[in-house]
Amino acid sequence: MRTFFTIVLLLLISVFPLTAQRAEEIIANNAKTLEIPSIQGSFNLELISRKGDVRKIEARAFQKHVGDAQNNRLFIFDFPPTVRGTGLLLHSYNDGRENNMWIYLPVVRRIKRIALESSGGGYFMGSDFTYRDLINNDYSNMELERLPDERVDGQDSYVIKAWGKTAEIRQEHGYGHIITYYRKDNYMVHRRNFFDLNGDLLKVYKVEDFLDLDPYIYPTKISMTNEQTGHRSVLQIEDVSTEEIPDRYFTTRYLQTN
Amino acid sequence: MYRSLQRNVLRTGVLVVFLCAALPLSAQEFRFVSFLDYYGGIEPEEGYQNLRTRLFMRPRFSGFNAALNFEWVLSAALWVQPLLPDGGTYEGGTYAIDSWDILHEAYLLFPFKKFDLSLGQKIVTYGFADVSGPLNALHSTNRTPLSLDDGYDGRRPDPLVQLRFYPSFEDTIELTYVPLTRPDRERSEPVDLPDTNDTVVWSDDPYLTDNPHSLFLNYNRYGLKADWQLFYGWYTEHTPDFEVSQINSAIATDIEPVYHKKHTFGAAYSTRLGNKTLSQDFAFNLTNDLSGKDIGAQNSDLTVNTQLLTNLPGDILGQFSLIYAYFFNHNGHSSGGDPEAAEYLAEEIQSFHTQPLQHIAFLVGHFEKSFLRERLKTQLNIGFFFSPELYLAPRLAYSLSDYWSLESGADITLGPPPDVDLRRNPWNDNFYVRLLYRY
Repeated sequence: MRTFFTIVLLLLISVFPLTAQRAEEIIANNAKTLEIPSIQGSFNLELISRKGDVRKIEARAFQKHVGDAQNNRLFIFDFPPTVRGTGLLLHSYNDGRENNMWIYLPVVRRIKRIALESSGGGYFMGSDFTYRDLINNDYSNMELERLPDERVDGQDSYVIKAWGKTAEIRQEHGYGHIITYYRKDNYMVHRRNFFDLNGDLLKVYKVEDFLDLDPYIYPTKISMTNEQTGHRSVLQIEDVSTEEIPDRYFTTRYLQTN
Repeated sequence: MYRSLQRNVLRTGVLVVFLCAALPLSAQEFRFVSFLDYYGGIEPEEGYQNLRTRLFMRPRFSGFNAALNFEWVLSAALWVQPLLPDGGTYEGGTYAIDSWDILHEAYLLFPFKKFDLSLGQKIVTYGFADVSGPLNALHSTNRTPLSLDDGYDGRRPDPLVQLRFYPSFEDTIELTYVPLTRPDRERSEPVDLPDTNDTVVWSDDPYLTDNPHSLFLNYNRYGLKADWQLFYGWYTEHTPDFEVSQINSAIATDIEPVYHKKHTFGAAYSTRLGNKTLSQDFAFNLTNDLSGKDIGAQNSDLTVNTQLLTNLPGDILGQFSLIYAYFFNHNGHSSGGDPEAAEYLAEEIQSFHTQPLQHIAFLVGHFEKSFLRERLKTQLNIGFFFSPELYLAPRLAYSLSDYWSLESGADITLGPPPDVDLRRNPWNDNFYVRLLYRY
């Protein structure tokens, strides 16, 4: 009997090293790499249909971390002309607080508080990214499961499955579950598979290029492919700068005057 | 018609020269909207009618002068209606835009650390409501659009001086002074009131010079949990009251518009409710006829607009607006020696002022769904007035490219058209198609 327990113990040790990280630790390590104090750049989004037709959206993007839990983002759209001058201001939190979003509509000169990211169908400007995809993921209302490590897209990866704790939350997110692949060498999310409420693969998120801003990492080219429709969106951030962005950029005053 | 055309071509030419002269100011941004549209009347009782064709242009130049630290904006509105409708005249509109309306927004904005100063002609919006906002009192309105949501020709900017003070990132205190306001754009032709033998004659004054000076004070807070506004306006009302000299159907008189001062006290908030956004605008409007004795004047009122923005199943964006208004001392006017004439006049004028009853309420539903990755946008607006007379306004917009789009829609009211003589839009049910270019 004693020999049996020893063998089982040895087997367990070989499968799960004593230093194995919990899913929460991997997510926390990833979050640290994204906590760039200030970053801005030109935001170019290409919407590519299954037939290859391409539409472009251009914006100026600004992002700043405030304290431990708050991330501010500002988008000022420049192209196409239908959205020129439109501004989107997001204050997102990773401590369970509800995100705040305001949109400035130049046609009616009005700032409007919105909550579009809560909608599973709230796709960002007709792209494959939802508003939720573009803001911090709050894992406080999600179940997590660490899956066996894999080598995916040429990268040794930690693999974590996450899903909303209730059917209502999953409905709100628009996904049944997501599987995220974190690079072992730097904790960057390099791939994320989104599954619909029926459990079928819906979308694949891939980081195709990134800036190493030690100790931070900033993805500069991201694609999101809808596996069910063949539509694809490619987001590229150019002219990246990490210069300090004044706090006034993330206010409604700046939103309506730029 | 020829002289009118000549005059407008000359005015347009002057404006174009002015805009070209402004270009050396080194415009950093140029925006341009132009469209050609056609409206057809489809009122069953009247048969098909050509209502309007319009060629519209709005150039907009803007820039920032870093040396002197100011932003400038210069824009214009230009339109002509090149084709005559059936009958050869435009019942409610002119051949071309009035020269006073050509200059659109034109202002300088000086940003300082804690405040902004704006000088010039500018559009300013108050409150959070998108439909029938009771705090949105600053500008005059085009009261004769064929579509209620015509955003291109709906509001005219006013000359103003505006000081926006920012005590913190979340708070704004705004003081706006408007030296001269403008009257709402009403039908240009006189309106006969046959039951009293009177005629309403509109004023064509571009500015209300007889009653200058308006002030607006607004406090705005964009907070963590909610956005807030507190509002006070003391201003010359853009919507006219009527100078009714006598109430007697035996004597023909001209009834002229008169523009009085008005106070508006208001508050508004907007907040998230899960995945919905709720906003409410409250306004108490104090007119110069609180007692309700003047048959030609607006009554004071209390108005509440409640708006809920939500995502409906099927990825449909839905917005519901419930507007309720209570009018103080409604029907408190004297009947004089001719009660029938008084009743008729009161009904016409109260209807014109959107005060037909002591309490009014209506619900507007706005539903929006996009297809083809937002290339095709569909909308349905429904106005429910707690009567069978539903207002339906379907809209379609298809992006042919990043610059060109094709729009179409209809404005349909179920039931027969209202039989009031002083109604603002006498064209009833219509549809439109519009080819639009944006740069």
